[in-house]
Amino acid sequence: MSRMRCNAVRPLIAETVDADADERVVRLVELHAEECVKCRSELDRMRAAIGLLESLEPVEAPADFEARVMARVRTDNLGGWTWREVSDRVAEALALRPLRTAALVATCAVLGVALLRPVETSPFTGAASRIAQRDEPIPVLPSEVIASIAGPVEVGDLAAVPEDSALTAEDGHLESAFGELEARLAAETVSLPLVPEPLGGAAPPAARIVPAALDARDRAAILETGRSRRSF
Amino acid sequence: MPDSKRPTDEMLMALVKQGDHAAFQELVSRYKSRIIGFVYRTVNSRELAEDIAQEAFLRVFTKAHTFRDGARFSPWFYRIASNLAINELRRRRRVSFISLERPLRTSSGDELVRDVEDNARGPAELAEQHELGGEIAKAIADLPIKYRVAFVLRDVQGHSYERIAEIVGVPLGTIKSRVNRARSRFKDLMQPYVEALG
Repeated sequence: MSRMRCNAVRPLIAETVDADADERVVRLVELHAEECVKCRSELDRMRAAIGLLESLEPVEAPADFEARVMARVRTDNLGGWTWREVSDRVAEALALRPLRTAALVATCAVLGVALLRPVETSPFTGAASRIAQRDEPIPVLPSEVIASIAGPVEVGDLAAVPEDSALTAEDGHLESAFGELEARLAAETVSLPLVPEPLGGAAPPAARIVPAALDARDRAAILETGRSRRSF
Repeated sequence: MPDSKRPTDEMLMALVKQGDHAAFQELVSRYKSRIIGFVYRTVNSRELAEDIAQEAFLRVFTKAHTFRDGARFSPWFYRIASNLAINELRRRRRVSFISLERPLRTSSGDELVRDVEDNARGPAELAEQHELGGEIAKAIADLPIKYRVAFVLRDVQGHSYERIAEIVGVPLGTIKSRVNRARSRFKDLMQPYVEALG
């Protein structure tokens, strides 16, 4: 009798029917099976069962299978393009590179902000609408100011205007700015360019309110030419 | 002797990645019978096997960009087909929990006639059912799914253990163990026929 016990051999029986079975394992099991009827029977049944698999008919694909798959590919994939192909071609067309991508993203962001911004964006519009909502009278310039627009005016010492009283266009300050301006105009006979200057420059020179933030050269340039050296 | 001019599966896949239909068709031609055979032995329904195989080929085309350079096509493709087959079997098993014994009735009490398609017994299967092949197919279908896939790939289709491990995505030892367990189960299931034949 083989020295191997049945419970050690049984698990190896399935291995012996493998196409690439280890020869040593096969010999070991066969040696045991020569002397063990039960294991011999198990080995024979295993070989017979696995041998039956050879009787299975090979499976052939239907004649039209290939045509069916190709038809599906043509109809399911954007007329022959895969999604990958489409994305590759889009990327190729855009020739995306880091800098260009960043520029594209920045442009999209700016456009997005511009489009999503509330309609009421001007501080003047905001002030006007608030005045209208409160049913307050809109400030009217004094008659002498209006009269001064039509003719030569004396310009006061604008440089003497305190910086903290400079006309500001910031939202929420317009009303106080108007009030302050009224008082200043009354005192200094300053006119404002309330109407746009004609292109020909025929209109009389109008005094300018110089923003406090300007430096001395800006102030000088504005006072001399009526125009700023730089655009605001 | 292999034809040196014949493009490899991987060369064809490189072309499929570019959307090349001719390369894809060549792959379909090479694998159609093998993959239908594998799925058929796994799900035991010819019609379902063809549907799954077709879906697997479509996945090859649409997911070609996920095929890594340097990878082998065969295990990748078999894995797609295997996953589709297993998912379908699991789905059907869940659906089969609906009792077929209790009659369906309308609110007025009329009994509804069930029209349940038996996918495991199509015309081809019914013809084969009376033969030994049908019994073998049934025995394979009775194996647990994870044993069945390994068993079909090894003992029916003759793939190497290494390739099966790659397809299934488990260690080599696990695959060997699954195949051996499947053989033992299969032997027990086929015992009446073995005795009758012997």
